[in-house]
Amino acid sequence: MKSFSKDKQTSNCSGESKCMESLQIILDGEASQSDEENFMNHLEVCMPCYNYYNMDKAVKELIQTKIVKVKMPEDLVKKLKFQLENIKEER
Amino acid sequence: MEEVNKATNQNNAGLDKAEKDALFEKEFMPLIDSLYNFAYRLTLDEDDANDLVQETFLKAYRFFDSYEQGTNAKAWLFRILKNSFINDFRKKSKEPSKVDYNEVETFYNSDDVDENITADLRVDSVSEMIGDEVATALNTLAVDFRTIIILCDLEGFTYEEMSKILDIPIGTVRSRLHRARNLLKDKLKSYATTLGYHK
Repeated sequence: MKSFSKDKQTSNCSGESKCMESLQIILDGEASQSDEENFMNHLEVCMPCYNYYNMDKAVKELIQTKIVKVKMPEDLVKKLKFQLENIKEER
Repeated sequence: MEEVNKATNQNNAGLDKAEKDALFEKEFMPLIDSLYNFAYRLTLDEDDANDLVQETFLKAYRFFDSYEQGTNAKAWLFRILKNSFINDFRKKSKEPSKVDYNEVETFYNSDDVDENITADLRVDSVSEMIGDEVATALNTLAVDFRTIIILCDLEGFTYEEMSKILDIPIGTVRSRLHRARNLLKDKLKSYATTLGYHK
């Protein structure tokens, strides 16, 4: 379990906007390994960033797991394929 | 002689027609469901989504020569669809309640970060939500915000791919994503409160 030294638990992170940027880049897998490591280290000592990151991560996972991808109805797929066949024959 | 001329005219991509058709079939047809899902989440209407997908595939076939083999077929198709969507819906504006561009433009002018909105949303409340609630939260975001969340989180496009699909700089991709996520969290928070997920 993570332990936060009490004297470092502040409500405002000193590196706020930079942290927000890093957080998002890391969440979306766009960060370099060293940037990611630095940020993860930062999370060990910064409660607001730790919470923010975990919330954003939970929301992203929510979208990924709970949104059902709507499929195109079979009959419309057939219709599309039929239309494409017609165009192919024209050329 | 005639056969040779025919082959040359159709040969823009260095392939004959049969090869082109096979390539189209192989690279693009598997993407139908992803594109339909995207179209549906943009239009929130089955018929409009269907029209958009059809239009996209027909355009893709017509302009197949300008598609470079081995490059990102999915991003290319999504870009075509997004452009068709913008063109069609700006012309029609038959259902302004679904796509409100004024609303979208207002949001764009302020990219400030709303930290306090998300202050008391809890991870466990979020994880308990069901699909319908999440879908509603997503669908009620302004179209450009839900677009970017769909592209990033549902379809897994990179920032660079999104930049190309949406014709915006990568910096704008990141700030729009950040703004979209804050708005989404705001909606989830209000559902969580209404539905009693947290007291």
